Amino acid sequence: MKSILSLTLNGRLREDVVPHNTLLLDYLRDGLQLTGTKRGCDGGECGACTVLVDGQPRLACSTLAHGVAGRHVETIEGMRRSGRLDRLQRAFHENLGTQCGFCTPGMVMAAEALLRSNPTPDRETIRSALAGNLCRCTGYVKILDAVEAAAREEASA
Amino acid sequence: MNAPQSGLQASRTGVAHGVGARLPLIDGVDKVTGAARYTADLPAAGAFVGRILRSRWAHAELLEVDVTAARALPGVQAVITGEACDMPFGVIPIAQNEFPLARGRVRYYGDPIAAVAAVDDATADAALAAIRVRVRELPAYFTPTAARAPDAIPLHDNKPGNIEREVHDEFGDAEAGFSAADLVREETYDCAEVHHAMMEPNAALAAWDAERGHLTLHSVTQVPYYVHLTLARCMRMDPAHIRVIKPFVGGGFGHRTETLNFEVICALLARAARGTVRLLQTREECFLAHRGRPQTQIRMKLGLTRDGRVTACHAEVVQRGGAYGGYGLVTILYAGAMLNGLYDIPAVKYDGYRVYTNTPACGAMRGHGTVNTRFAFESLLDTMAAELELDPITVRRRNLLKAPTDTINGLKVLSYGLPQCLDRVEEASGWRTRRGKLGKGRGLGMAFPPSRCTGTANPMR
Ligand code: FES
Ligand code: FES
Repeated sequence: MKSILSLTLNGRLREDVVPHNTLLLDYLRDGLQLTGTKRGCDGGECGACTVLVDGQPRLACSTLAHGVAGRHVETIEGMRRSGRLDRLQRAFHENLGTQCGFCTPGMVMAAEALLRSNPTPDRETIRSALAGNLCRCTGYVKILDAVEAAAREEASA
Repeated sequence: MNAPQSGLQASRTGVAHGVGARLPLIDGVDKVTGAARYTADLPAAGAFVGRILRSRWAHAELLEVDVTAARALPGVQAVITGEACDMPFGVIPIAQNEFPLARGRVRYYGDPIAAVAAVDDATADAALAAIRVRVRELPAYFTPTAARAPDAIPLHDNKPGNIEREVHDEFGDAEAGFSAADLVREETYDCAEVHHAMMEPNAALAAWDAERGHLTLHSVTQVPYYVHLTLARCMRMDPAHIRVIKPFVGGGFGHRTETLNFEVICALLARAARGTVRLLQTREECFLAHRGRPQTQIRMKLGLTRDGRVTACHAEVVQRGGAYGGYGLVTILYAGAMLNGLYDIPAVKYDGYRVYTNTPACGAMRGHGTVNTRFAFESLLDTMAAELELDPITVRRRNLLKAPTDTINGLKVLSYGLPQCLDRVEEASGWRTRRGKLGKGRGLGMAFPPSRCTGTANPMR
């Protein structure tokens, strides 16, 4: 069974014919070639597929595409502002919060959700906001540094 | 005045450059924007979906693999079995005993038996379900002890007793060393098996150019050149007709330092399908491809003088190697050879056993072969230091090397920053003032990390 799915994706209205059993992750990656959102596990364990739905972090691998009909969905591809790096992206880049980079889109989206609701989080708060996002390269310290740096930049802006 | 004075020089553009300059990661922007393409991200419109049928038996003789019904399904482009490749592969030339798809025998739960290429996921799954496999189950061995039992069936005919490799070395006179010691202790340490769990699951994209008979493979590999050679071997092709491309890699930590069966399977499928095949692996399949650090048992014996000098070391190491050779010969060698290189030890005796078992094959994982032995050595050194009422840092200082030097097994130590490192750690940790005063359940400890040369161009003994 297929039907038309309409939603707002990275600020633009979209309408696509999508099977009812398609996961949001597959809709983004295979349907729209938005491959910035990653699959890192067999479901719900790694956070690599984190996107925002109405500003809240959501695991795209465990969400049906039709489940977000009419909502605002944001992915890593929507983070650039006028072609420039967003403050979180810049902070991850400059603080080496990304190594192999596979976890990075999910990390950035989870951190984005945090900074929107709490622009001046302390380290403990950042840690718990990212607790569902695994990284095997960095050891997390530089990721926490990056989110702190982005929050500082936002505060001083 | 163009000689550097101190610190970093600014180039004409005003940007610091040279050793020590902070430079942005060359691919950092691609990674933080999601633009970086990893293997599973490559455009694959029109590619067939690849899937692997895996063994549900840990050890069995394959009597029949019937793919007739699967081949007949509409939308199925290719179905291949062990018949597709009769050339065994493996990263060590003298231990090549793995086929991309099992021939005659499966040796671990998950061993690939057949593979399909189909127009979509559902058809590929239906094709797998239509394959009939008949087996005769064999006794399976999950521990080195079981695999070494006198009546155990060899996993590989050329390795009776299931010993893949024994290593016996003695440098210096260990017996004399132990007699000269004031304290001799022996302990057994068990280390669990570990997988790399790199964040990016395995994936490959193989394109067969039927017109020219050429192959292009994109893969998550850390070693495209090995993959290239292995493909040429397994597919009996001229290497000049094969291209292997490694896009962005989402971690590896050793998992991908040898050709993995799914890479060869993807290429074989593409040739059989006369087109492009994308083979995405689940996380579970990554665990089955394994190549992790083996479960290891270590019997460690050390001799110490009263003032903390190590007089001799004897280690017996048994590794559960898994079903195929992989890097096994090297892992069991490193587990002993790298006992040297950190400390000045006059005598080191080593007995290593790498055992075939009916579990996924182990391989190289960070600190290849050395981590578990080092853990055992450092643990026992600490226990004995405590018994002699010596401080852990002091006992390590007593046994330092002096670079440049050759160790007793011929490792060249050209530079050696450990003494300075010890000083820094002692100071930064507040070792003298804080140790033993942190309250219940907290403490300060110290151990040297596994020594590991990043490249071993010379044979090691
Ligand atoms: S892919 Fe791992 S949590 Fe979604
Ligand atoms: S940077 Fe590699 S997994 Fe996080």
